[in-house]
Amino acid sequence: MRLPAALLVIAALMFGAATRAEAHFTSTSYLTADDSIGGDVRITWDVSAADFHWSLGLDRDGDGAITWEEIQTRRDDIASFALEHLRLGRGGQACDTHFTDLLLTTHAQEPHLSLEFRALCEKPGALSLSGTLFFDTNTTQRTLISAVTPVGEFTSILSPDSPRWTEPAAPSVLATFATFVGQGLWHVWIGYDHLAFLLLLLLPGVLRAVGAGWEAVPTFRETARDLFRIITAFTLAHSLTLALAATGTVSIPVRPVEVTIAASIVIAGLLNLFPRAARARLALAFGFGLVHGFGFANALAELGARGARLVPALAGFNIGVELAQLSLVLLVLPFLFRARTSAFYAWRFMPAASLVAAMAGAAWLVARVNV
Amino acid sequence: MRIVALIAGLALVASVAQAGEVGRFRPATPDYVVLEVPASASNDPIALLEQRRASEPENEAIAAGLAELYLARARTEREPRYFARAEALVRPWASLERARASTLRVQADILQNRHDFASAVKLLDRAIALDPRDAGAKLMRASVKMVGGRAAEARGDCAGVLASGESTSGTICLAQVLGATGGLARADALLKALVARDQLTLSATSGAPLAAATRFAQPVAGRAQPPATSASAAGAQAATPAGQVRAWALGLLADFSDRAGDSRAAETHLRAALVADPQNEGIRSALSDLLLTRGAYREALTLVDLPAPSIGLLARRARAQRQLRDPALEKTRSQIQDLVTLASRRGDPPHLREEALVAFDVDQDAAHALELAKANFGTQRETIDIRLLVRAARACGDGTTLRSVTQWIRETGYEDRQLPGAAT
Repeated sequence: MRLPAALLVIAALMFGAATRAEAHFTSTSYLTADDSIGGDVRITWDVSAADFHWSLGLDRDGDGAITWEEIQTRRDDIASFALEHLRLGRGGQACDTHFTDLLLTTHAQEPHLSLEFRALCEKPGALSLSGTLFFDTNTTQRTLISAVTPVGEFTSILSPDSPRWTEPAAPSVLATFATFVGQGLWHVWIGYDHLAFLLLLLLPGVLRAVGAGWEAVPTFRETARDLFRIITAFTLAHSLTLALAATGTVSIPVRPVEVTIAASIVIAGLLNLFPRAARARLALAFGFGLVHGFGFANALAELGARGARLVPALAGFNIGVELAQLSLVLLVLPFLFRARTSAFYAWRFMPAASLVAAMAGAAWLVARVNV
Repeated sequence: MRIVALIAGLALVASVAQAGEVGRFRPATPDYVVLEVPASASNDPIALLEQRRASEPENEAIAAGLAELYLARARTEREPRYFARAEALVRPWASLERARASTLRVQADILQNRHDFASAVKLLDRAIALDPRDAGAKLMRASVKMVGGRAAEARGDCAGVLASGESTSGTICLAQVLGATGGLARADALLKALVARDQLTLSATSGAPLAAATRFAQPVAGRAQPPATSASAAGAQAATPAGQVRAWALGLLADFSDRAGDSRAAETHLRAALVADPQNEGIRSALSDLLLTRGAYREALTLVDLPAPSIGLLARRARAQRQLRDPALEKTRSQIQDLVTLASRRGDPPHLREEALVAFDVDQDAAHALELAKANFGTQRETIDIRLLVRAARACGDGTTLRSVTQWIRETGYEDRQLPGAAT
């Protein structure tokens, strides 16, 4: 077995050549910058203790155990080494960053030193971050960035090939508004529950209750007026709660809202079976509109509308929702208006469709309660 | 798409924010152990060469030589940071048109370790063109092709290794090709003869009884290869290069035996291989798989109980724990999840084989396992990969996949008693 060194190295990998990355190995650091309040930027950098040991040799007595004391005695070295590889800027100007504390933490079962820094930045503006610890000696090193600024929350990955992150320029008010008009439209059109509720309000809208029976609304003008009142009640209600929830004035948990929205479909569907209940539709539209508004607010919050983007986002989203509603009305109104005079529509189609929608609502209700 | 990206981004923000909050603390006592590391050694050849490199940073030959030492150590010490250090060392030259063969070989090794087999082969082609007698590059190219299920293409490189005078490596290499191309019985006989001969040679060289595990941990005088400097945190001794080669041969013999239907013999070979190279995770995983198959869950569990376990080891641990109804299963699951999440956050390629094992054996999600196993089969076609794909495809009733595997088996002459259409 006389093999040259290089060959031995390779021979060794032959069996199970593909057993990659034996010990789990991360070489990942976590750089968090909090610039949410605008003043000093608070930075936490969690760096693998093993990576520090590789560069600085932390096991001073060589006994195979790095103790907290050994870390403490090298605290200044660790801090200045990290500081050499940390760059923070704001508004295009470098910030004055200094070390404040050293603690321990764990990421993915691996011990990390958690270094805290504070940066004094003179100018406001976009944040820029660079954390390049070990990039020169370890090609698999990654720095996971998480930054909170007045504009929003950002994440990014730094690697030796892309060692710097700059906060993306905030979209203009107009761009935000336009984006959120689209989001509002999209949310209603893919959100089957809002569509279903709206349809249930529209279906009997071309009819009037006369005693225990239905009668077609005579003119288009009157039909349009009836529908306008219902849709306006729904819109006013959901716009109100959407604004209240989006601005944080009122806070309602997601689940009860989603459950109530499903229940609103069941109730609206069943009420359509009874002409006598038609009178309650305006109140129904307004009452459940309030709940649907909270549903819209949850969707808006998930889209990251906060900080400086909130107002244009809220306005855009709301308008998008109204446009989606309007498009639905325009789509179904010609059909409904034409069908209104037939007994089949009033006594068969409308109740059947309502019942189907109510059953779907019941299924969503069960699913949402059991989440 | 945009909304999906947005939601994904927000989920990421949430998870990062959460990960950032993992209990920060200040230890109560100064002797709190933050981390266990290999105890330091004097006269470390890597340290000596690092000093030389520091005085000659522009010297490509020194950098590549040092990188090869790091690669060797990455394998003996279960510490992949050495791979990253090796890559950083050759980085200034790796992309150059006139890179040396040794630089190309180092970079190829790193790429294959990262499962970028196609790029690794390209670099090796260049290295061999530069130095047609580079047996190391040929051996690596053969290995990469065999992992990818293209054993027939590896034959020429194995012959080249043999012709260069490297009879042991060349023979093992050829046996591996033979074993994957319809000559399982002959390959088995060839390798058995080699191991028997090899045993005598090794005993004569070192003068120590073969049975003693520690024998392989002693540095052999006159080797350019650095001796392992330390015990790992696991306490197991690192293997010598000779021990690693022996483990390679024995591991291969085990694979042959298992495919021929003799799992007892396979187990014996793997146990011997583990003695020769205690840190070899491939051997450890293969042995634990055999133990899990025959119901020796407790021993399997002990076997994969190493510090800083990889997803592969965790998958086997979870499988054993599930059988033993061990409540620690949940912790293992969350460790696996942490590693998978971290890899995706870092933008690392997925560990397809290991994740397929987790999906099939731990989560019992055959459909997901099949998806992963199919993707894995695109790059890796070792026994475990083929079997996993077949098991998942059977569980899902995926006839198309089964037919294509059978077709591949027929074309290559691959033999395995556990597989459909295998010509054993």
